[in-house]
Amino acid sequence: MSFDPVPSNSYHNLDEQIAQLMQCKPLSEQEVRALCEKAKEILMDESNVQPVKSPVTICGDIHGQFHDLAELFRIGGKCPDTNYLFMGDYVDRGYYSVETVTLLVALKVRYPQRITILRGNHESRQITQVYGFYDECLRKYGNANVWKIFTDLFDYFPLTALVESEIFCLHGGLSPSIETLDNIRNFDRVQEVPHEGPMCDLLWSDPDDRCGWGISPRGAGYTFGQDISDQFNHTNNLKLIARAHQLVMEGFNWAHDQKVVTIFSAPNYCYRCGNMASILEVDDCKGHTFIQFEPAPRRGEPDVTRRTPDYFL
Amino acid sequence: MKNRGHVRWNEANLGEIEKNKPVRQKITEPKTPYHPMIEDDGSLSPIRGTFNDLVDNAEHAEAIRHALNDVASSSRDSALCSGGWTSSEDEGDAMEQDDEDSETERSKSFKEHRRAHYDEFLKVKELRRKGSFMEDESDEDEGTGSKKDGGADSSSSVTAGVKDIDMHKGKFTTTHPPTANGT
Repeated sequence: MSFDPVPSNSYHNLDEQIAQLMQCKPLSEQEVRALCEKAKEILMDESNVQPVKSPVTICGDIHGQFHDLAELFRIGGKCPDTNYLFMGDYVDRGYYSVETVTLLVALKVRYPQRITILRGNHESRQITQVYGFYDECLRKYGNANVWKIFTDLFDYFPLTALVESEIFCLHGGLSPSIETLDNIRNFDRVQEVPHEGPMCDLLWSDPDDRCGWGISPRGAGYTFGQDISDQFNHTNNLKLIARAHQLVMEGFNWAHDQKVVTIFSAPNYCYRCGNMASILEVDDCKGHTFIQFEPAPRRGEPDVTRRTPDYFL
Repeated sequence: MKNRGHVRWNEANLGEIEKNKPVRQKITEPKTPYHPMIEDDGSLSPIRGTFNDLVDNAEHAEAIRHALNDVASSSRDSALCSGGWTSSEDEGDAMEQDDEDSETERSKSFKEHRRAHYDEFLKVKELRRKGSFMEDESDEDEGTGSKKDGGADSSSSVTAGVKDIDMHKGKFTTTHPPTANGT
């Protein structure tokens, strides 16, 4: 097996795989294995605080809602025409975790400079055993090998990203053990998400109305108040913390006097919550635009030509 | 019958329209969280025990949906719809609706339901306490891993319907044909 990051003659193959995945058809176990080997080589060179340039479109939780991810690409623009930054939670809860995460990893391998995929709290061995990805792999492949391959790869996903040195992006939130971005840069992330500590907090914490640090009702991470966000942003010269991790009705939700924004990109979450999804476009001039979207029309429904009924004429 | 005399429907045309009507958004997926596939041959065990869990989640999701609908109908989310209706509790900072001014009942209820839904780690903790997980240190393939779990799991305990515990015992039996439980 070659570990060269994608020699050019293999692009063709990869493009075919991406086209297949775009139709919501999973790859074979062998293909997944080879893909993840390449992805690992790329991801292991990325920083815990991966620098990202604008323009870029920032996205939140997907949770296996493949058709809505396809809709996201229709609305936000295809990769690599649009640069993307995904903030984790690709798997679990939805029905197409396999296709969703495989597609994102394939795009990462194909266009490593065009797409950034961070780790969410669901990119974990234990969580995926409870919330669907494990079962889905069993059902679609007949064994747990693909689950093993992906969860091993998740260990390499970067934890946070920094857009143009001013928007700090991560899945969950802040940690009482972390004051500076350098603190984050320094730890060894290649492991299962721990049950406590700074790495855990980054993937589990939530902003809160109350000041200071609070105990998270989730049982992992913390809640942090506006004072904490102000301090962190000031210390690190940040304008904004963009995070995902929580269902929000309109797809995005400002908190902490616009120092923190939650972005959630799974419309009608769990196929029943009735929420909008959104993505955040950051343009070259660092302007921000939220784009909201609703669930995609579902698979297999052809585009029927509209005919004006006779009685309208 | 008489009064139908002067209204004649063009049935052929109606049929044509029906055939060609534009695609409607229809969401046909089954409910989440994931339903285990139940196979007759037992390759994926029907006794996965997640059922209680599914019910719990379904209830949460249902509750969230209600709360969300309420929130939606009040349509007073920050940044999007300024103006509009504010509750009496909002008056404190009716000018700035920026942060999660969670003082309205609806917002409270939404947050409560959302919190209930996001109990993921608590569940994991509980399962971990019971030793139900495949540990990542175990580099054995899932065959041996589940054999161990399957062995610890007598079928009587599964059928006993113990709430959360079963779910994982059941789960690992799914990896293997029933014979793996023989230990």
